[in-house]
Amino acid sequence: MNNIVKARYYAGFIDAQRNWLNKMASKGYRLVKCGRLFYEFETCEPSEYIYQIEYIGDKSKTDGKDYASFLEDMGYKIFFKNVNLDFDIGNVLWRKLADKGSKFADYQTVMERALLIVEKKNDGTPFELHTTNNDKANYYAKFLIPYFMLFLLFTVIGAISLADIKMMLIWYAVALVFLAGFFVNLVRYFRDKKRSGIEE
Amino acid sequence: MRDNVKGGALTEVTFFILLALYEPKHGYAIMQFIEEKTDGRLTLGAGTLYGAINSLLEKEWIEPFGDADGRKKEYVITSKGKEVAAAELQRLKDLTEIASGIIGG
Repeated sequence: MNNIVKARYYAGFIDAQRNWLNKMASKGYRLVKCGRLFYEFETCEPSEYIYQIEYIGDKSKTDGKDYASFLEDMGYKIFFKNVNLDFDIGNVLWRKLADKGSKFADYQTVMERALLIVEKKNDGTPFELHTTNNDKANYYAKFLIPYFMLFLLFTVIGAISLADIKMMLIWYAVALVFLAGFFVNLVRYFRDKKRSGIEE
Repeated sequence: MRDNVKGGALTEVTFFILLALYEPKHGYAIMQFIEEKTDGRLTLGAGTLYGAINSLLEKEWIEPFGDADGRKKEYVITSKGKEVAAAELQRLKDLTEIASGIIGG
């Protein structure tokens, strides 16, 4: 009955993180705590719980809390999680944009809690937080700017590391991964937007 | 939410939330109401419901009900919301009449 702790790093990739949590749940492990890189699990019945992850980095701290308490009222268990990208974006992009330290600090607190891990008791029905096409489209749209910024960021870092070809290639590969993330969400956005025009 | 963009039609979700709130309800009860009334055909994700509720609060078609201190937040339809719902009912009646005339039944 000992709890197990696992470390995982998912960068900005929410689907992969959710799939992993659901795989753990199907093996009989339930999330009890999560830190920046660590996830602590306790044993439960296999597939007793099911997980979704929601990006709330676009919401202010108050709005994020309000949403979290709404979900708790729905009977779900909530964990706040950082995106593990805050250090990079925080330092390179936002510090320059923020006039004062206070704004930067506020941004940091938001990024520390930019993901919500939502746990639901598995009742055999699919667990989706966004169900109408229009709402799904809006949700995918939230990822476009962050992913594109990350693509730009790593492209710039790659260009700076020009002296070291190996490093440069690594940074460009990372940049391409985020570009792919951008396009995946762009395609999803247009798909659901189109559907919402027909069906809703 | 895309209400009132195309000839004043409400989305199904919006109309159902308004109907659910003729009696005060919290989020989970709204979700159950919709699932029950549609025999599970329309299931609403919590995120979609949250967005819809906030947009309806903004439009003042619904409002918070009671003092939610420490308890689950409840909402209820406003008189403005009832007007909108009544107009939607009329629109649907007209629509069914036209459709019945053409398709039969």
